[in-house]
Amino acid sequence: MNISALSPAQLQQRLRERGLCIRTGPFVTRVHTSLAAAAEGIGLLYADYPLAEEEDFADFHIRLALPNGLRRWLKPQVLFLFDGTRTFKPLPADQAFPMFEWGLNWCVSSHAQSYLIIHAAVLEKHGHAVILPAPPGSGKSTLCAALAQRGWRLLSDELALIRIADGCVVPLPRPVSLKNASIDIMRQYTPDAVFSRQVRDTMKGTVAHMKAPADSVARASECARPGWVIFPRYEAGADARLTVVPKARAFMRAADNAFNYSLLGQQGFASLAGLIGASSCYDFTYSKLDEAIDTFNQLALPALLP
Amino acid sequence: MKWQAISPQSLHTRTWDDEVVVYDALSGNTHLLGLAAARLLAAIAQAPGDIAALAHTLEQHWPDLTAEEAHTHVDAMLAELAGIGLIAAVSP
Repeated sequence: MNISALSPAQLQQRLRERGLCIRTGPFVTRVHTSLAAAAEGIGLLYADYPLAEEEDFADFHIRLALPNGLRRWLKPQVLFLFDGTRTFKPLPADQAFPMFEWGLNWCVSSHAQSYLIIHAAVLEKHGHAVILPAPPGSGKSTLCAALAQRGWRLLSDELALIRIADGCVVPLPRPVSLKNASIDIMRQYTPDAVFSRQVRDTMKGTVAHMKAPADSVARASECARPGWVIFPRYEAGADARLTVVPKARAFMRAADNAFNYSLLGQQGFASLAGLIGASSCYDFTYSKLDEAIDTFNQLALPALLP
Repeated sequence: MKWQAISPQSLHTRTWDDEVVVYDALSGNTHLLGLAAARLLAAIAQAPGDIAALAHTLEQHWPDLTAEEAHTHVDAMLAELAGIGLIAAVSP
């Protein structure tokens, strides 16, 4: 049963009382909240996600709550609690849904140590994953959102999960986080896509989230093999261009973008070496999304290693 | 003066083209080395050596260089490897 099977009233009741168990890729998150802004975002953007059984093990227990005291009424705030403990500074209450998303990213990147986790968007075609590690402001999420709406399967907007056991790229399709100018760009580029309402004055500026394509959510158990590691960079007026990055340098740059490379020690080194060894590595500059998508559609499959 | 690897059993490498990534499990640090420096490190990890012996080991990398120039290259690479904590000088 998917979350869409619940009416808005049932969803709010579930969130308020027993908690809602959402399955996203390999993880189950139990979330409690009475905040309408959070319920609205979850109902809109997680409609296609499976409801986990309540007796199932939940990897993460999250609560989005109003603080006690006057803060409930004067400039209300939202608290993010993980296992009952405050994890972050409170944010304005209208940022409840972005906080849920950011908090869930933190839950995964801080606790899922059976994966090498790289801060990267990930998409798949023909069974091979393209991993896009990039710092904020590089146009990574905009490119990811566009590719996800133009035939590439969304594996993740933020977190590349490389399974240590076998090197597979494990999907974690969740809403795509868009900021500032990217929001209107994507609204115009993909008018059929579903977006959360814009939330202004966050630490990242104005943010909105784009719903993950239903097909990507439905195929969240289908892993991919590494195919390409591409470092994207938006550059106004630039033609779409791929430039080969030597693998050893791609390794160092990917390591810089990994959350738990150092923590994993030798396992992290071996996992990243396996990923880079199996991938074609490029820098990519672009300014026009159509050109970028054409370039990605022409990527040659990497030679399969024996 | 001889040079030896600080923890040869802790070194893990991957080579791609003419560059090598070295993971030092002892420190947790990862380093990007050129092929010559990586070969020099491998030679030192196998057995401590002085600069003359190490220069001789790597002479095939620089067929156009004089022995003195090769010596200078090795000297610079030894300083680099020592600087990142992979090797150390030992008294004979």
